[in-house]
Amino acid sequence: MIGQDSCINISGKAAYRVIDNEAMVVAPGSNKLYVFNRVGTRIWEMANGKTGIGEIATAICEEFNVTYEQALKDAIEFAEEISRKGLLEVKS
Amino acid sequence: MSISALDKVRDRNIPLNALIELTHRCNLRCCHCYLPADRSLEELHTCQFKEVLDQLADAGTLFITFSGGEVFLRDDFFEIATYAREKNFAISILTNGTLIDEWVADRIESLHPLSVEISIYGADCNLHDGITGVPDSFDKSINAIRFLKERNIEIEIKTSLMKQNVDRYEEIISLADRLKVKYEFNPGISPKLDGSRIPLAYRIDEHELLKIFSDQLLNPVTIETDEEKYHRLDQDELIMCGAGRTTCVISPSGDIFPCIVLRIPIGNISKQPFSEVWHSFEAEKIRDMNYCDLKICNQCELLAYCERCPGIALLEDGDIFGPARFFCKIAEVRRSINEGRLVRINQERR
Repeated sequence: MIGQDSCINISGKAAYRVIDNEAMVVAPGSNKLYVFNRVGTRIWEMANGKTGIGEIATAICEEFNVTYEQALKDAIEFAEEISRKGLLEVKS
Repeated sequence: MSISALDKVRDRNIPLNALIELTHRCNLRCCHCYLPADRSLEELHTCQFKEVLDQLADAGTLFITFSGGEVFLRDDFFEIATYAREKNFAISILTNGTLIDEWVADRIESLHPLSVEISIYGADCNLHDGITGVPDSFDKSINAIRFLKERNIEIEIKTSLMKQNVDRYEEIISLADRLKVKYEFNPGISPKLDGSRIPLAYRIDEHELLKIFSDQLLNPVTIETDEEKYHRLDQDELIMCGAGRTTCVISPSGDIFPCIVLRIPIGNISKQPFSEVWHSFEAEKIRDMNYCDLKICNQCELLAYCERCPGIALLEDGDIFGPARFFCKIAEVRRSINEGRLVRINQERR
């Protein structure tokens, strides 16, 4: 369960490149290529294992002009989805 | 990949895929090898290859294939490959596997490669070692597959199909099934990079091509026929490949090529930054090739079935814009098979 105090970190197994604010991410094992939108890419870039989801949501709401509640909901949903794919590690 | 990302990569000629030949040294003596015996053995140093990786990352490259020669002959392979992972590349490794023991397999596992592709030419040592010219190479390569498989690393057996093994490819499929690994066959034996046609003596003929392309294990039937694909794609998409557009090759000495077969150097990374080379006049000339330049091929009735390779056309037939005769043969074979399939599909649709 990911909450606003959870920290997320890019998996050491993932490979990625950011081009024009869009991250292309590959998960070894599945060999699938995912492309994140600008918000997803910003969350990905802040997934350093130290910054909490709440802090990430604060940055998102400032940069993309959405409410904190919406940014937090989006960030948690995004983190849950890509951690299921093995691309992120979550520290609660 | 989303369409927008694909479009961006293609429209802006981002070299998403790079193949890095770390060395042209090899411990096998494969009869069909495209590398000339008197090839240059000049190689970039470790720090130069790291600089190459820095520059490719800046250019937008995501996928790196490490190839040789035999990559594990470089003492600094893991230093370079580890650096590539630190730069967030997705890496694949092409190898003959003979130098992979348990210790090497452990280190490969730590790289989290997308895949390790191992050349296997037969399902037993007589056939395989006969092609590689080195005794025990089969046993060593099979051991490597086992070590890597134990570590859950994605493995693919790569087989060049040639006169010596074309009648026995089913045995390689059985071997791959037993080892629980993927396999891929390639009938595309090419001339040596110095133009020598010696390897072509091992190339399979039309009858053998027909057998391979008719085998549904190797060529699963899809509902979309080649004719339908022809009408769906635009002409440039149909006939032009990613060479020099989304693909590049770096040789051991730092020469930059559009692809592994199309050996027209567009620059050298030890003399110019990659970005300068990639956007140079020489590179643009390669990218400017289009459907209209192919004076014979663009009028050809086999166009729908053709996967023409400009590199082979140049190496084998001397004209980058002309037909590559081996691919003409393959197109002929595919047409005859497709005509049979079309009849069957139409009967089933009725």
